Amino acid sequence: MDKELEKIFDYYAEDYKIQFFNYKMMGKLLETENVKKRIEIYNIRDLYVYGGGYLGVQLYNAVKDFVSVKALVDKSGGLSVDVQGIKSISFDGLKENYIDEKIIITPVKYYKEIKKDLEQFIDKRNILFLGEFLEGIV
Amino acid sequence: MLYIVYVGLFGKRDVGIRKKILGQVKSFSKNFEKVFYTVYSGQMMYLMLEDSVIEKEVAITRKDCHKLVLGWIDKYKISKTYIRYDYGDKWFLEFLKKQKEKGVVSVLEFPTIPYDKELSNKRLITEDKYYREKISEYISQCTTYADYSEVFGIPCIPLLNGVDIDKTPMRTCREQDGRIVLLAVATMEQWHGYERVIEGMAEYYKETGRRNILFKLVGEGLEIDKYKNIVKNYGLEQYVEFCGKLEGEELDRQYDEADIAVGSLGMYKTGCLKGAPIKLREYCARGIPFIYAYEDIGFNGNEKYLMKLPNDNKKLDMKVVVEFYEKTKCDKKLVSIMHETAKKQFTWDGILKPVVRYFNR
Repeated sequence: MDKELEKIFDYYAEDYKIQFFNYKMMGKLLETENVKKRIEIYNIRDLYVYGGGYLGVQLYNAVKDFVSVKALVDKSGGLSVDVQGIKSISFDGLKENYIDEKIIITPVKYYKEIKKDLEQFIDKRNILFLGEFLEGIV
Repeated sequence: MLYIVYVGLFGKRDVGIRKKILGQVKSFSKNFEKVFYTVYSGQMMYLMLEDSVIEKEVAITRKDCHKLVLGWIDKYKISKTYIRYDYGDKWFLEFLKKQKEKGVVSVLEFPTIPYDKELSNKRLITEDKYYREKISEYISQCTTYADYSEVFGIPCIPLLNGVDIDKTPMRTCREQDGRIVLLAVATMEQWHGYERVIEGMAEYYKETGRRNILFKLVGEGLEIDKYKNIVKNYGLEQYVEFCGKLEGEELDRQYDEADIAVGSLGMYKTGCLKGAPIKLREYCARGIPFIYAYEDIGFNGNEKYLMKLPNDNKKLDMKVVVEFYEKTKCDKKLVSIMHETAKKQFTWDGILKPVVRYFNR
């Protein structure tokens, strides 16, 4: 296989996996008992949700009755889902308001970049990836 | 040494695989200085040592997983890997190639052979069939739980599944109360075929069977709803009990209160005729007589404590089960014979000796 084809193959595989995990996590978020259990395990009281897309809003809906969700954080400061009543802030807004809360990153594709940005002012231990929150080893 | 696994070990349905892998890791640890292992769960790859997470990182693609593992091989100066085969693809081959270039000695374990019927995804089947034929370029030794001397062109050490004898106590024989208690402890997959028992019970009671037979199913899995529906359809609710997932003392108690254990009865569905699943070793270590329906390479099929059935979809003849019960009930001597057999033949220390020898050659 030549190099370009190989690259295309890799991109397809990555896109497929991202879609697969998005779908899987959407489903896992419907398992209320597991969500409650994981909140207890991680001892989460106050939370920021990173990502204003479907997964972020879905996570917000799954946890809002069990923890205090401070806001949904998105680079743009808005949500890409048409819903009312959810507070959203920008990355800079998070920087200004952040104290010591947990933050869960929902976008699968940009996880690494987001984590790197957050680590500038948030303790590593307070940053969780959505998959890790739902099924990771504690 | 690094034991590489690409699946989760700590989920609700991972009890069997967790016991097996941690048992193997424990045994390897007696022979090699430090034995790390990996776990893949929640799109995270973990590097573990004993019960502790040493490293963790998000890994979305197979390529991400392999890249992380190669990094850990360098960082922790790993010279040996034991890999539990998941499926073959381009990235797995690249990984094998790179670890070979690093001079890592590796053994690849095929958990099941043949496994084609276990895969339901056409893309995976096609991909695996294409790439698995090339694995022999990078791997010189494999293992599997069936009697093969070679798999996909790779010399093979046939293994039996083992048990951690320290964690598998001998059962105590219960006082007889007129009931015959059958026990199945499983992850309830299609190859367990427990519908054969339930349908056999339905037939038995239709023909005015007089013994009080109770079938207890411990565990959760994809087939459980199917079993529940069959029980409901036949109106067998008083004879079949679904206990859910049990561990520790609760599970020990179920063994103490049962007379006969039930192994896999539906292997024919996967095309697997021969094997050495862990369950029968556990039943043997517990000292509970058992029934099963395939060729198990750890037993010759004539032992007093087992009943081997044809590997097909026929209902179980409960009259035969009752006869087997009468032959084995309350036999304390048989319990200790079974436990001693497991100690001698089915502990990981003994089973993995040829693998350890290969690494040390």
